[in-house]
Amino acid sequence: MTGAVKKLISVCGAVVLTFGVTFAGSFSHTTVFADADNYYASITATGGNELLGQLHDLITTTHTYYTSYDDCKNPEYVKRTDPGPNGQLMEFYAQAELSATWEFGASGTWNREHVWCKSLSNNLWNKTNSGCGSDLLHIRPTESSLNSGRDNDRYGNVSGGTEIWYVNKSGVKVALGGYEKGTVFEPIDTVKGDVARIVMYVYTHYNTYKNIYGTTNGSGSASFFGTLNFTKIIAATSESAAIETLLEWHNSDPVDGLELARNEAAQDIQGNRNPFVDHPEYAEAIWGDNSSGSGGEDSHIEAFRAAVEGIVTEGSLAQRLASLKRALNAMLPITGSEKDLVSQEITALYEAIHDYNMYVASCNRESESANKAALESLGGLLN
Amino acid sequence: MNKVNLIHMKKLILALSAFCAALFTFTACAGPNLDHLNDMLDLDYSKIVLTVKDIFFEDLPLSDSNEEVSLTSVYEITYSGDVANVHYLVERFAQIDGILADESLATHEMLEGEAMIKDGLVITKPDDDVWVPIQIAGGLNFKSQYFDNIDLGDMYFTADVKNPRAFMGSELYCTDMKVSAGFIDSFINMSITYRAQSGNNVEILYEFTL
Repeated sequence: MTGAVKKLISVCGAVVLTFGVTFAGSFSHTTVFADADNYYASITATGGNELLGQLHDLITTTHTYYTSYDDCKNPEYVKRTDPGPNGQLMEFYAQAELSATWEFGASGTWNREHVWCKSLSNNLWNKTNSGCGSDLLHIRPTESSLNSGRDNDRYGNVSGGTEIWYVNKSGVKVALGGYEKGTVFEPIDTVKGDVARIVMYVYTHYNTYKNIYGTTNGSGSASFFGTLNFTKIIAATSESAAIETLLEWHNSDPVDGLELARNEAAQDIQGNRNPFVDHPEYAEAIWGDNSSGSGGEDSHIEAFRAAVEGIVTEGSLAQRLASLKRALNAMLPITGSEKDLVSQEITALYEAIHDYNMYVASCNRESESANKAALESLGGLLN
Repeated sequence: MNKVNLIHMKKLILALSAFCAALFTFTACAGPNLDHLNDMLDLDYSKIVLTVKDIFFEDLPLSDSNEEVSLTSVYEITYSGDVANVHYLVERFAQIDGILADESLATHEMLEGEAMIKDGLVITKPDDDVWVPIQIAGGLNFKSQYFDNIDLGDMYFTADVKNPRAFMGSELYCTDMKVSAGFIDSFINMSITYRAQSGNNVEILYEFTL
């Protein structure tokens, strides 16, 4: 399906929602349609960590209803968050319509795709599918074979990858969903931005407020929140390289009507929205080269985290010492409340220093034993 | 000479031969006399330089190159009357002070100082934790029964040490100890090598100056 057709469908969808068509879905909360501008009225920051923290607080405090994993297979929900042109659903990766009837994820039918894989969630949603594992702004309907083809690959740009297709119940290819090479999956061009904005949403929402410069996790259970790094889901060797890929995809595939419709449906059902859909400029303001506000601080925190991750714990003494020096130097610019954001890394660094010191102390004791024996052998020459 | 006297003569010769054979055998098992080496240890040297090199075992690569990683300490002992001055340069692996990320932090550090020893007691020493000996009762002791494969010449001695603790006069547990020494009327140098219990190789070099 071409991008133009996709946009036509999304426009029609947006028109339907504007006229206030409601669904008799199985939810009890009040149906309120979105006034996107009012939703962001509390956002005063213009960029950097300050904006990131305010967005975290906003989307967690307005997330008043945490949908269940069963909610995510409700056809009435998914036809609103991912509306197809003929009243069914739009398959996420291939952007082709698929029956919304739940058929238990058989091949040629849809199942629930974790855009940010469970196994890469730092144990936040890999066991219970709760919190982010059942967030309607995260979980997307995908054709089962295509879902299996993507598996738990990280996202990234590949060349010469294997084509992964949405197939029908007869196994016939319907639409291309992406490319896989090794453990990296590259969506088609018209989905890259969608993926990037969902990843940014997950990162901003489900990092604990201490990591994300916010002040609260809202009403969500504490178990929903933890530490997430972009390198967990984007194939890159550093956070900055992962961000580069995300911004590239975000800018190359602009927000479309499907995403806007999803935001409307999500706010109606669960209370919050994806800010990077409503305000795509937020992405650059937070993570771009010219990010304003306190965004510069993020770079030295990321540098410290990378340095701690790079600590060598065995083998060459010189390499071990060099890696510890790098981490100590990377910690120097981190002051005050920022240390709360990297408390785990600081603990890991001091534990590694302790182990190194214990090791060299044992070597020094051995050397001292040899020195002592040699001096004692002089005997009367020293008396 | 009558027949009886001849028999007595033969018995005497046999007994004497047996005694000589036994004496020779005993002497051969006891090894060469090394008393002159011990005498050289009692000479008044004006200076002794002791270098101890501890080479860490190869199966634990402490270096990212093929170079060996070692700690070398040097003790220079001179004498002022009955006082022994011990100038030391002790090498250690440096520990990390977590507060400072000093650019100059290296894997090794050197401790230098001078201690004065009189009558086996340390009378002055810098305030560091470098060990210096006090009240040494033993010391090197050359006895043949402590060695195997002795090769003794007019100016050299080499051997495998089979009783390191007795030879060194210290509580040392090790294997594969070897000694070689050069001398004329006094020791010129001596080298002792061994493998420590931890697996490290240790090389001790003594340089004597009369």
